[in-house]
Amino acid sequence: MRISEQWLREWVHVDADIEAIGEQLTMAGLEVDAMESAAPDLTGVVIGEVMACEAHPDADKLRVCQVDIGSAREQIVCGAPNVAAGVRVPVATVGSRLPSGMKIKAAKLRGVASNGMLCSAAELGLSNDAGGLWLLPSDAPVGEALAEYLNTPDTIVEVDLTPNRGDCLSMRGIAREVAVAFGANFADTEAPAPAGDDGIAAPEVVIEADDLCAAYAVRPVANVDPRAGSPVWVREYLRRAGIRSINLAVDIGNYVMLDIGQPMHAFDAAKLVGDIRVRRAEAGESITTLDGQDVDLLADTLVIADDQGPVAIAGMIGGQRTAVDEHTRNVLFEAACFTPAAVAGQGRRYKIHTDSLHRFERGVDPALHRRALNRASALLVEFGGGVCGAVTTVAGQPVWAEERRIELRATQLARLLGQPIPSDFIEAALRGLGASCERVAEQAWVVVPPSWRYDLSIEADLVEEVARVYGYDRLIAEAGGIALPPARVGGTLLEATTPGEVLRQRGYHEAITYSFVEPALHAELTGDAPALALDNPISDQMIEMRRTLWAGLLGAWAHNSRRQQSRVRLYEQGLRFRPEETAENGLAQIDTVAGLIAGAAAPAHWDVAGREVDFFDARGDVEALFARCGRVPQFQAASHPALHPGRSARIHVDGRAVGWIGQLSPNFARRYKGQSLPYLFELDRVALDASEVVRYETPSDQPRVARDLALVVPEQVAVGDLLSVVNDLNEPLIQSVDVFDVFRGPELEAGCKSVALSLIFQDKTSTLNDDTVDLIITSITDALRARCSARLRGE
Amino acid sequence: MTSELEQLRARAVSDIAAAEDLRALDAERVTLLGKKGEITARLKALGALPAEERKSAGAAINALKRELAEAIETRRHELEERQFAEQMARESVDVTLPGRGETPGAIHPITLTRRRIEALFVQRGFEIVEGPEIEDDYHNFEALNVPPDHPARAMQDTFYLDAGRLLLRTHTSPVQIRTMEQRQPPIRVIAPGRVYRHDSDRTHSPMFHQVEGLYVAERVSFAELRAELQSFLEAFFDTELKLRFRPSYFPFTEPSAEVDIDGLSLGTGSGWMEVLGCGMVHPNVLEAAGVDASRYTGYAFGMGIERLAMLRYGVTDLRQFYNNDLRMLAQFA
Repeated sequence: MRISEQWLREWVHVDADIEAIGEQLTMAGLEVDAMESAAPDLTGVVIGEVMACEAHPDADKLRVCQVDIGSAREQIVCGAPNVAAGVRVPVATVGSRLPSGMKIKAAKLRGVASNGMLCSAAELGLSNDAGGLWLLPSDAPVGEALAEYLNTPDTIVEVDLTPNRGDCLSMRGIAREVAVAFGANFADTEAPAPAGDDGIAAPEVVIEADDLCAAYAVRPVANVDPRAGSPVWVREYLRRAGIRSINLAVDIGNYVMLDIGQPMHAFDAAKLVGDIRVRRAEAGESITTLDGQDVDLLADTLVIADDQGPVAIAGMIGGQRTAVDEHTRNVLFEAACFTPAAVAGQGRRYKIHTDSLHRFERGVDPALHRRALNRASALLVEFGGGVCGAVTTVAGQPVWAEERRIELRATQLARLLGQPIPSDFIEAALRGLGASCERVAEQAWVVVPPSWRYDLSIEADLVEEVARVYGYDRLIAEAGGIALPPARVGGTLLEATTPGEVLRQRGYHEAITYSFVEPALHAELTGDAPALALDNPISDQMIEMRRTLWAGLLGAWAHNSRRQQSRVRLYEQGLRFRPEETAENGLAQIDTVAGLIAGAAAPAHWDVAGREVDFFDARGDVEALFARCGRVPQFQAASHPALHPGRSARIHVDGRAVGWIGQLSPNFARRYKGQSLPYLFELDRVALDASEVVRYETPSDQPRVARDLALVVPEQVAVGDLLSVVNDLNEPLIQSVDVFDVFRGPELEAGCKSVALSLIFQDKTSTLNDDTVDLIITSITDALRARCSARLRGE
Repeated sequence: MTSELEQLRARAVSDIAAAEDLRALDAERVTLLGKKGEITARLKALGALPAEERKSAGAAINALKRELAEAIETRRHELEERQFAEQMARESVDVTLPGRGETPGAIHPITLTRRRIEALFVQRGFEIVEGPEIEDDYHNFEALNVPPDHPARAMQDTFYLDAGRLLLRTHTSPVQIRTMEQRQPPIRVIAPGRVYRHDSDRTHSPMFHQVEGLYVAERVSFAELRAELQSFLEAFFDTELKLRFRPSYFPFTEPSAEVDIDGLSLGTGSGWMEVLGCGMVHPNVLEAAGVDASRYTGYAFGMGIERLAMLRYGVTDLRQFYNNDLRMLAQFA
């Protein structure tokens, strides 16, 4: 909402500059976004009249004009298409400077002297209209400074209104807040109503949809001069509010709306056929709106209709068929109170947003329509001539089914605010805002909010009003005294390390990528698994809710690769989303940790041979994640649409599948040309929770016995199978089994590999002797022979 | 001392000094003092001297023996020290060369900021709770006193899913509802997480992070809310701050306020900077979530993590947070 300081001061007299007023508005909850001058510096720009206008001898598009600027007559060369003898236009005189910075000098244009410049509104920084010279009214005083004529020394205050304060979408509303803030008098007086001539015809009004329209009122003004234009002050006020001037009747309607808050519409009364009905649209009806759009109306949209059909979408926009134009002599002003429910959602549905709709959505004072009609018709008669008819008012159901009587208790106010406010202050504040305030007990009132405040319906609303007027900054701030048990710390706050910290120590940076991803990549990564797509995505790169965090990590990797960062280690923690019937809203939202590594296995170093990352780098990181919470993951070769079929595994913990690991499939090589494909992993966060507290075991002081086994096994036997065999023996004396060599070579028979295991044996209570260890070794080798076709090397 | 002995001394002293390593020195010691050494031989020959000469001659030879033994020992020390120094020189490394091993990565600045906020609220007795990011209209809007088609919905441009059946939560406030649905007051929680709005430019990201706070108990007041937020923000920025509580509007709080920090008190220049929104929980919200609004009052607040991170770290373009450029991330290691 753009507030003109001049206009505001017509409403309220306070002894404060505009900065102080702005500060008070902000602190009253009407946040001032910006302040700006109403017009640029117009020094040296005066009103001139073009006395004569002749063709330039050497240029087709230029005219040589003789211009009366009051103090002198100047010759000015002008190229505007609408220059003509007799027009009055702004003249930038020699020595003045336009807002663009251009300095006006005496010059010769194609050999003809030119002493000044005739200006468009855009050249003066007053509008975007650069279509031609700004043609001023024919009564504009020649020679007067334009700034004086427009009365431009004014400040525009841009107020960012919250949606609850529809009542402040007018000078009257803002002025009331200013008066309350400064303790000034606010005279909300109504100008005397112009007499109405009952002889002037006006249509009958019928409200059919009386649940959506609390009041509908019209007033005709007949025999208006169709050539009468809006006075310059109306145009200026509209311009400063950001509204384009259209014609006298429409401008007056907009002026009244901005002034007191009642949206208005002006019909050409001669174009209306029969009665006016306020009704719901019927299926198949349509309307051509004022701005020329053909709109098919949805059934139940509230419309204003005459005998031939809709003439306006109620509260939103009028129709072209009944619009006021340059021939209109008989105007019918409309002022109505459509309820917020009547217009709710219509802007979105029809993609039409108007100042009127904006106000009705937030609630328009149901007691205002008559006053608005009186004001508008008086102004129209004043500037356009003609005669007022009588006001026709028809009421629908009231906005509030019964009077809003809200109890306000001083105790409740003190409880919410944490401090009492004096009773006198409470009463004065509420009355200042226009509420009636009846004391019903020592410390209690019944408050009836004013008709323009739709946002006041419960006690807490009144508490806020009182606090707002009192000033939030004057209220105390005081720590509470209520003891609560210490918070149970959810999340990961008290854990010594988090998964992220483990990965960070291993060189990973944390990434945060968008939860919505590009569908093509997503489909490739998930093997076309069904994904949830946004109805209204913001770009074609951000459409589907990710089923895997890899989509984002690959994007981050690609971003960094393009910037010559070839060694990339990234992880992300966040939700992934999977349709799942049994979950809430049919959707599983799974907390997930994922990682990506690419490039060199270790940071570049003068003494470390460079090598690219491989599966076992990624696996080591995954193992470290599980080591943090005391779990041992199992890796089982398995295929995944995103991964290299020979370099991918499903990860299990305690028999449950919890994630995937592997190298990005060579199918993606085309997408990431010239780059070696990264390794990826993705794990359910819940599997990484360090949920169990450590149970301590005293280490054994007995000596350890180490034995190595060099085995030869067929190539297809996985090392994991060998380890499982040892594991399955459940031999308590075995402390650990490590793989210390895997070897292939010509000295082995074809199709075989050698695997060397290192075993550590230890007893808790006594020294192990060789015989005991030998027995275990024998049972191990027997089992390996039987289950894995293994033999000892050299056997 | 005889001249013969004098000559031996002179030669021996010079030979000891000339020994350039321990081996040569030891050979010299054997030559002089060993079982068959020159001094030993002379001592043995004393018996052949007349008795009156024997005494003085013996004293002279023994004095020389002690002197040479001492000289050898001194020389040994010298040689050992030199050898040690040489070994040290051989073993020395260029300490200015870079070290070996993995360089730790960095936690994302948004996460760092989130953890700082979490830690400060946990100190104050708040529990951390979380909620889903894909929400239904009820939890994101209706239960928060925002009916369909309410103009307040325009304050938060929403991403919809599944033909409008679901949406991406536009704020962390639905976690208030979910928490109150599950338990009765006293409730003192914060809910950090991702939120989404249909908006993208230098100061708006379609995805960002918020922390919601909720405290509901029998006598919770606006005065307490103000004190809590003042102390939190001062702890977060680790400095005394000048704050401004400005009346505002959220459908789910009444009274409502926005909190601005005076840039001068934060050291970021003049002007008020909006950092969070807050207010007393609207009775309709309490009732919708099954909390008796006549018995309990509560406050709620919501802040953007990005906003706090930008102020704390001096990041000026919001989009920097989501490109995951290693050169950005590494600064937070």
